[in-house]
Order: sequence, then C-alpha cells, then structure tokens
Amino acid sequence: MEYVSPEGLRLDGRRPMEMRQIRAEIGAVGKADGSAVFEMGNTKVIAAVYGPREVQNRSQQINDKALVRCEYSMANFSTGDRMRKQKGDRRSTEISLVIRQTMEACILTHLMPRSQIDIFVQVLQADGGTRSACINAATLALADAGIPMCDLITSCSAGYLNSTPLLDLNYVEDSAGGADVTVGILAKSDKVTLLQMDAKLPMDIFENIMQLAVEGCKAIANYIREVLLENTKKLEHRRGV
Amino acid sequence: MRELQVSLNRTQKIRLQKALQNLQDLSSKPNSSASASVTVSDTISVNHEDGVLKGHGTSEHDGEVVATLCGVVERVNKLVYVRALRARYKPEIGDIVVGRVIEVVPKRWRVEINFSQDAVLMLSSMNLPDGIQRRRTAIDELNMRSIFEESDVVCAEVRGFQHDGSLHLQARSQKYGKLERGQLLTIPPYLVKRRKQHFHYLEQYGIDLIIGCNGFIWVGEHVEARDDMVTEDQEKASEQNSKSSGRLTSIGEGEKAYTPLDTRKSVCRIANAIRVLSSLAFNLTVEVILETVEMGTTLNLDIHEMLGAEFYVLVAEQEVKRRNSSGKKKG
Amino acid sequence: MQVHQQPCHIVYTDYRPTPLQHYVFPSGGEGLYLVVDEKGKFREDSFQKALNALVPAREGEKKRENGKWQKGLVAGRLGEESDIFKMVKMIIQRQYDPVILFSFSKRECESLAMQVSNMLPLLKRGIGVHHSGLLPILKEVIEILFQEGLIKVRNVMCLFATETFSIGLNMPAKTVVFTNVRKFDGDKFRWISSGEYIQMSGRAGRRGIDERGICILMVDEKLEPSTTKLMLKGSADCLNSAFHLSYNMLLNQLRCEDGDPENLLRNSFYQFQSDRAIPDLQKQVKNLEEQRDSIIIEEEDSLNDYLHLLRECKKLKKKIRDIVFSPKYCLPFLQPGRLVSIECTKTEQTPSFSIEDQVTWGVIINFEKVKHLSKEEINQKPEDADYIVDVLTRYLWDCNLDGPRMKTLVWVRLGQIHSLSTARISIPKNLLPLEARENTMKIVSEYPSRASKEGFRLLHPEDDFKVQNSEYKKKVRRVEALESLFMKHKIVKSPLIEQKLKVLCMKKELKAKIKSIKETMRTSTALAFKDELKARKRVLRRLGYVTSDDVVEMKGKVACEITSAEELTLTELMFNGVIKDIKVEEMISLLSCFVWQEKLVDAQKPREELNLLFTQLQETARRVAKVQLESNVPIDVENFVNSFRPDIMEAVYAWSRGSKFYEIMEITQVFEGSLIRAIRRLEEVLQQLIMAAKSIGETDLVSKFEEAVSKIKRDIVFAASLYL
Repeated sequence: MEYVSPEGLRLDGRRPMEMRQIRAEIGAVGKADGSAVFEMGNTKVIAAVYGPREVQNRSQQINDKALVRCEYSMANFSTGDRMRKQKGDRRSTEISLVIRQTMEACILTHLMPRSQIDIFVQVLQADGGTRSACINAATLALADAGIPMCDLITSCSAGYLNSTPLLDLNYVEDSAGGADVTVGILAKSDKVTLLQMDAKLPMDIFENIMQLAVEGCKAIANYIREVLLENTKKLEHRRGV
Repeated sequence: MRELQVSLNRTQKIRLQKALQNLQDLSSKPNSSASASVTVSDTISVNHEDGVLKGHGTSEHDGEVVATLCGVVERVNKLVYVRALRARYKPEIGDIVVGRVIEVVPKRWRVEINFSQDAVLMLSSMNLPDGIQRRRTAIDELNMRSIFEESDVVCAEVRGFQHDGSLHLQARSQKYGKLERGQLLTIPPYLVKRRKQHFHYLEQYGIDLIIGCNGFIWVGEHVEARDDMVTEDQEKASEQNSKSSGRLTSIGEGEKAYTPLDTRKSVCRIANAIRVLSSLAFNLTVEVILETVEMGTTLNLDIHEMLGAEFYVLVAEQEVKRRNSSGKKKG
Repeated sequence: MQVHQQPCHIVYTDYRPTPLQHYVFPSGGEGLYLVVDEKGKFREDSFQKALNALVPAREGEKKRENGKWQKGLVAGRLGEESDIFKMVKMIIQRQYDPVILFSFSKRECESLAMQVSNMLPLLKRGIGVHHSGLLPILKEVIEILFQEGLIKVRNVMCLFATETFSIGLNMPAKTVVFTNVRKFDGDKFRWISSGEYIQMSGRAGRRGIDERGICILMVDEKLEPSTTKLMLKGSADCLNSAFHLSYNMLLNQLRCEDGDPENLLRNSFYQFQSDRAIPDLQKQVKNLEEQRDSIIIEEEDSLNDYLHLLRECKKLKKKIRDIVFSPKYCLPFLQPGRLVSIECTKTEQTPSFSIEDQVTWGVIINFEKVKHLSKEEINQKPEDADYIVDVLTRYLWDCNLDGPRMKTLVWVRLGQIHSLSTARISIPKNLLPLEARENTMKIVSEYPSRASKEGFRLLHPEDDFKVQNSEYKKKVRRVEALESLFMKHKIVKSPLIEQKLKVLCMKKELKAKIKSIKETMRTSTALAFKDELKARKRVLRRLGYVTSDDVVEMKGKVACEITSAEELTLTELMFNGVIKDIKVEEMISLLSCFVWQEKLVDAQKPREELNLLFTQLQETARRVAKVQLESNVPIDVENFVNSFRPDIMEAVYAWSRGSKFYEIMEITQVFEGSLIRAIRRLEEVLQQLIMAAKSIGETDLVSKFEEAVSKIKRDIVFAASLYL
C-alpha cells in the first residue's frame, strides 16, 4: 500500500514531516485537581489528576516521596469497532506503566512525601498516537494541578513507511506494520524519558526518525507552554489583586 | 469544564467577553503581577551577581533559576519564589480551615482539608464538651464519636507539622468545632486571600460564613457562642440511644433544631453567590460575596436564577465596576 | 486567675525545719561572730564586735575602692594567711562540714579552690568546683559526687560554687560560706539581695541530718547594721513579672485568627500584677478624698494666699543666705568657738508657718573642705569648694530622731548655717568627756539671753562680710517688700493662724497624693506595653514582615521560627542572601555571634574573612536597630549592634572544621561550659533555621543547615547528660 503519494502527501493529506492539528484545553474535569483534554488530529484524550492526596493504601506509602499512580483506559466508543474492553488488559496495563514512569521522571516527588498522585487518562477517540497524546494530556493536567515538575514532558511519535520518515502517525499508518517510534522528552533539558519502538530499523534511519520525533515533541512543548501560560495569565487576571 | 455550564445567548456572550477583556486590561497594566506569570520550566531572570534564595516553585537548572510551577513570580529581597495559582492547599500555622472528618482512629480524627495528606486532629488538642482542661481518659476516647463522627464538617486551626511530617490541627476555642445546618462549598484555595478574619457573622442574614484558607467555605445558620456544648452533647447521647442513624432526623426532632426557611434561603443565596464567583475565578472576600448576594436580591432573582446565564454575566460586569472604582481610589 | 475550677492544694511550712545560724567572719580577723541566732534574733553587739575585728585592707588595695570592687580574696594574701584557708581550716576543726562556699564569679571561684588546694596538696582530690563555665558533664559529675558525699577535704566535704548551685539543685550542706557580700550584677557591684541570700543560705542545714544550718558571711569592709539586717533577715524577692515582648511572640500571635497580641498582653502575669493593685488604689483614693473633703477651712483663699507669700519669702531668704554664706564671704568667720545658729527645720514633714525660722545655737569646732575624688575638683579654687563645719550643738539638726537629745557634734554644710554671731567662746581642748560638752553647751544655751545684755549681735552681711553683690541687694529689697505685705495681710491678725495653716498644708498634701495615685491607676489600666506593641508592629510592617492588615508575610513566617536568636537580624541576613553565599563553616561561625553573650575583654579579632562577615552582620543589625528606633521602639542602636559578639567565631569555626575540643579551647579564653552551651544553642538555632528554610521552600539552604548541624553536633559538646 502506498502511504506516501508520489507528490509527497500522506493518506490524510499531510506532508511527511507535518504534524496533525493539535489542540489542548485545560480544566475539563471540574472535580479533579487538574485536568486537560488533548487532541492530535482525531485522537482525543482526557486526563485528570488527583492529588497530591492521602495515600489510599497505607502499605504503598513512601516516606520520602510521593507515590505516582496512573490509570490508562480507552473508552468503549473510542475505536471504530465498539467493543467491551476489560479493565486491566495487557495493553492498557503496559501503557499505564509507560505513562507513569514517564511522568515520574519530571514530577518532583520528594517535595510531597507520604502522598499519592493519581493520573487518569482516557482515550475518547483513538486514531493512532494515543500514547503520546496521553502523555501530553497528563503533563497539562499535572501542571494544572499545581504539582511541581522539573520540566515539561511532551511526547510524539514518528514512523518509517515507504522509505519515508513520517511524523505523528495516525491509526492507518500505525497499523501498517512499519516501525513506530514513540519518544518522550524533557522539553527544556532535552533529555529523553521515553523511547519505544516495536520494529527493527537500521541505525542511521532510526536516528533520523528519532530526531524527527524529538522535533515533534518540541513543537508540542511550545504549544503546551503557550496554553499553560495563557491559562495562568487568565487566572491571575480574573483573580485580580 | 470548570467554568459554569451556562448557555449564553449572543448578547450575553458579547457582554461577558467584554467584561473579561476589561478585567484583563485592568490587570495587565505594566508592573502588575500577571506580567510575571511563568509556566513550568520557564527561566526566571535573576541577578546572579549576589546570592539568590530560591523559594517554593523554583529550582536550579544549568545555573538558571527555573520555575517548577505555573504561577506568578514573587520576590522578597533576595528570595525568588513562584506563587502557584491552582494547587492544593498549603497549610500555614494559624490558618483557619474547614474540613471533613474522614476517619475516627484512636485518640484522633483524620480530617480531609484539601492538603496532600489528611490532617490530624488529636483528641488532646480539642476542647472537651464539658470545657474542662484535663487529661484525656479512656472514656473520652470511647466517646470520641459523640464529638465528631465520620463525614462531619469541622472547623479548626492549623497547629503545625509534627516531626513525622503529619499535619496537626487544633480546635481549642469555642468557635471551632462541628459545623451543622449549612452548606460546604469547595473552591480553589488560591481564591481565598489570607486575612485577619476568616469567621464572619452576617447579621442581616443570621448566617455564619467561614472562609477556610484551604478553599472550603462553610455557609450555615448562625450559632450563638458555642458554650452550650454540653447540651449538644446530651442531644448526641439521646440520638445514640434512640439509634437514629442520620443527623437529619435528629435535627428534625427538636423544635430547637429547626432552621427557619428564610435562613435556609439565605444559605442557598450565599452559597450560589460563591459558586458563581468561584466559577468566574474571582477572588473571594466576604465583601464581594455580600455584594453579589445583594445584587441578586435587588434584582429580585430566585435562588436558582443566581446560577443562570444573566446573573453570571452581571457578576462579571459588577466585578469590572468594582475593580475600576478601587483602581481609581488607589490612583 | 482561675485554676480551671479544680481544687488546688498548697503544701508549705512557714518555718525552717532546720534552723539557721548566721555568722560573720571579718576579713583578717580570727573567728566567727554569731550575728543572727536560731531564733532569728539579730545580735547587734556581736555584730559591732565583728566589725571592730575587721582588719582594714592595706592602703594599696584601698585605692581600688572607687573603681572596680577589690577582689580582696583573690588578689589578697596567699598562704596560711589567706582568709579562705583559715575559713576552711576552721570548718574542719569545728566539723562544720560539708560546706558550700559561694562566690560570685567563676574565676574567683576557681582561684579560691586553688588557694586551698595549693596549701594542702594532700587534700587536692577532695575539693570540688562548680560553676556554669565547667564542662556540663564535669558539672554533673561534681553534683553527683557531692550528693554522694565523695567530695572531701580530709573527710571534709568542700565545694566551691557560684550562685548557680543555689538554684534548681537539691544539694544542701551543713554550712554555707559567702566569700563576698557583694556581687557584680552587670553594671555595678551591689550588696546581695535578701532574696539571693535566702536562696543561697537555704542550702545550709540538711533536714534530718543537721540540728541546725550554719551560714558564714565573710566580710571585708564595714557594713551598716541595717544593711546587714536587711540582707540577713529580709524577705524573699518578690515574684515580679519580667515579661518582655519579642517580635517572634508578636508574629506568632499575629498569624493566628484571633491571635490578638493585645489579648496576650492582657492575660500576662505582668498585667495581672498591675491590675491587682487597682482596687487597692481606688480604695486609697476614696479614703483620701473623704479625708480631703472633711477638712473645711474658713477663708481658704486668703489663707492660701498667705501661705504662698510665706513660702516665697522663705525661698528668698534662703537665697540670700546662700550668697552670704558662700565660702568666699564667710570663711574668715568660721573660727573655732564662734557661736552659730543653725536651721533646724529644714525637712518637709514639719513645715513651719511663722515668718521666723526655727534655729538652734551651737558653737563651731572646726571646718574642712569636702574631699572630692575626681582630680579636677582638687584643683578648684578654695572659694568654689564645698565646706563642712563641725558644730557642737544641742540638737541634731533633723529633730525627728528619737532618743535623748544628745549634745553632739554635727556636720553642717554652709547652706544650713542660719547666721553667725559676733560672739566667740573658748572651747575646752578635749571635748570627748560628756562633762566638757555639757559645760560648753551650757554657755551656748545661755547665749540668746546674754546676747542683748552683752551687746552681741549677728554678723551683718554688708558690714561684716562685705557683701557687695547686686543680686544680694535686689533680693534683700524684695524680702523687705514681701515682709511688709505680710504685715498688711488681713489673715495675719486672725487667731490660730498656725493651726489653720497646718490644716491647709495637710489638705494640699492630700490633694497631691490623690493626684499621684490617680496617675498610677491611669497607667496601669491602660494596657501595659501597649505603646511598645504599637511601635513593634510598625517595625514589622516597615521591614515587610506583615502587611498593613497585620497578615504575616514570607519574612514574618521565617522570623516566626527563630526563637533562640535575634529574629529580625537573622531573618534579614537570610533574605539578603548572606547566609546562602558563604561556606558552611563560615556560616556556623557567623551564627555563633547570635548565641554568644558574654563579654570577653581581650578577645582576639577573628581572621579577615570572618571579620568581614561580622561587619556585614553588624551593618544588618544597625539597619534593623535604626528601623526600630525610627518606629519609636526604645532601643540603643549601638548597644544592640554590640550585643552580637564575635568572640567565639574562631573557636566555632575551628570546631566546625573538625578540631578537637582541647584544640579549640586553646584558641579562646572562655570557659569550657560557656562554649559548650553556646554551641548547643547554636545547634538549636540551626534547627530553627532548617524549619525556616523549609517554610520558604529553599531546599539548598535546608541541606546547608542540615550539614552545619552534622558538623557541630559531635563529641563532648553534645555528650548526653548523666542524669537520666
């Protein structure tokens, strides 16, 4: 199948290096301490953060830092074929772990000892790159919850199809069987906290693709920063003196 | 969406937008606090020549001071810190907080106060119902539920952090203690400004308003000086004897426990005013709340209409007026 | 005050189960003199004997009397002659042991012990020294040894201690010796107070062991019997509130909802004490007012007028006399044998209402210049100096003294001379026998009657003294005018004028009294400290610790945590980044200035970089003090700045770098115990600073302070107490 047309356009009409439209909105869940909706094209996830709060299971309490928990789920209606998914299937457990570990890297857990931070992310619409979208949404929600973080973590994926490096794969491209590299970086310090790939790639091509994904992350980081700053300013304006 | 879900018609939308724009213009004058807003990982410019103290919400990264929170940069002498806006409550000694009892455990109650841990209210830092200061006995411990039960709303003062890092409260005065016959509202703590007074008795409505520093606000029927804790205790005892499970029934029982309809209406009005203000993310002070309530009554609005679109816009416009006039006063 | 409705039992005895005997040991003398016996009777005769036995200190030592109090015992004779040695020997002989010897300085305490132990090397192991400068652990060892009866001089327990031993420790002995009766209380040497005496003498006599306790006072100078009585038999010191308002207290109050500092003050013991006095005062006022109103005087106005004139007149006359009897004019007439009249109604209590002054006649024996100690006055001209005249007279010039009106020699100042007579009599060479004095006085007493007969008269100012002063003349004229006014005054003719005047004066006195009591009432009902509270709040606002609505700000929160050091200066140092910039060791050294209060006379200056820090500290302190002064807080800026002492900076610096304790003791001359206490307090301050740094969220500082704690908290300085 041809994923990149001779004119250099992808199936959804993007250029190979082009990201989908991204949109973020802060404060989607009223009750949560922090929440956000993050959209990448047709992928739409919602994240809610609770905490830092009292540890629910006392035995899990950590005395010198916060316990971070993450729960990833997909809404039943998020994919084309509506099907009932069991909670805690292997895929979502894995993604939960990935997101948790990624976010833990930036949360200053030592400032909130003996507490617990819950991150809930749910995919509302799945169209590839849910992992990245979830991480981005989680970052926004954490920042909204006022949880201290050393840096913003953003994530983006890139793939290699038809001998072309492609940024931000959608579902069709994702399921084409090519390489899919998901990268999460600390935006300011340029450090990688997440790197996943479920195929084989030659070293030099991988480096290219990874570089591409990092570029994507940075673009997302800029957007997220803008959104956060605007939100902060709005709150401060509203609050008045 | 945290903002109130109201369907605005076109003119209302425009009015609201205009009001909010005005607010923004008002506070985005040069040197205002909003201009110092930062987000996570933003660099905060400091003079590195002489020492810098990095306070809350900052850390050092490659020799630069970097924000770890979204908020507003504040400076005190050489100290730089970021005042977070939306965040959980950060207790400070002496703060008045309203909380909900989560658990009754030996010698203490666990109270949820919107902090990163449950706060602890020791039996020993609580005035006993009989008002006598003495050692707490085993009987006192057994009777702890006669003072507070699970899910009771209480008011207390932050006593401080213990060595193990837990936060302790105290309720050593008659004005602290259980709150009944009213509504508990939660707003983001940053909307509550620390003041000399957090207890307010609104005489014209016969209402007690407690604006807890932790963003929990209590609106309830005014209670005369709580010296009659003894009678309350007896009430409780009889309640336990009759095994009536809910407090509601016990309130319904006695003539004394009846809250007049007018008072209840006032509670709702004040509560709705707070809801509107907090959904607009305006700073909450007792003056603003009262002003909003009064506006509702002068417009002859029903209680439920206070949550409607028109009032929402009106409150925003009112806020613009208020800030305009206070700004002029200062100028 | 209520003790929460709980019954409260007070157990007390109002007598001493073990009676005390108080002895005096005169310096240089031999033996003891019982001054107060078991029954609490003061033996005047025995006290006089003791004072007579006092061998005056040698001339060389006497010189120092004016300046610093002589430390006779320390600097004094060594060897067998030393008083302290005699004392201990006597105690051994009389089996008055165990004994505690109190002295009022740490150094004196040690050197006294040295004197005894040097004399008796054999007994070296049996003498204890106890004062706050000791290593805490040694101090505890000594306390325990003493309690167990192991400190002995040839089976005699003997402990040299400072006042610290008298408070808070239950370690009595049979005998207590006061090696001095004066102590230095910060700015001067003073007699020990009766309260202190009670506290220390209370260590004498062990209940159930000794029949009676013995108290020995080593006296090396003349004591007035009244002073001694007051000291030995006075009551315990009053419990007076020493409450003082600190910024830390204020801030901690302000950050609580109802934390009204005024409430705190209102509930303070200080306020209680002043409140308690009010009903009493009110009663007094009422009584006095009743008294005042009961006095009804006819023609009060004119009487008032009269009294006024009278006083005016007397004042003028006195002034005239001052001119006339200035040394310049009267010195030539002060020959021995001249008759002189002396004013004997000088005191306010017995005002006279006649125009005539009450005088008494006497005869001049001698006169001399008053000696002054400062040099400048010695070089004065004879005219300006003060003179004292010895006069033999019938009355003591203040006649209120009871007892026989003795024919005594009194000293009078020139101002008290009323007039001099032209007459002179011969006086016997030896006036010591009573008879001689009687005879002389007889002649003197006859003088007034003889005066008119034999043509004696008073020396006239202008004729005899040759006073040519314009001031004088003016005053004389004025007196004459006033006197004529008197004569014309209508009241003067009325009978019983003296009594009436007396009553009037009484009434006036009552009025004045009422006024003064009302004034004290007013000040005590007004909140004590209220003005200071206001001023201090102003300081906090100006330094940005609280907002204008008294809400505590960031800096205030930091100052809230600091209770063991000067909170404002330390907070300012922190917020100025000084503490953040410097190395841990330097910081510890700098902080030592906050905890060291003793003054070292010849302390060496710390090295350059430490001194630089200290200067920074002083600048900050000066700034803080100035703000306080500008806000009307009563404060002495320089005093405040100098309350930070750099004396142990070097030692603490070395300690924080891991030096051994004996090494740092070589650096500085302070007592071990004092240094240890300072370092312990320093650790306390550091702990508070950790909390403060946490409250502002400065994690680097937190770890810095924690590192500092780990650097100083080691070895002997933090050795655990022996008491469990």
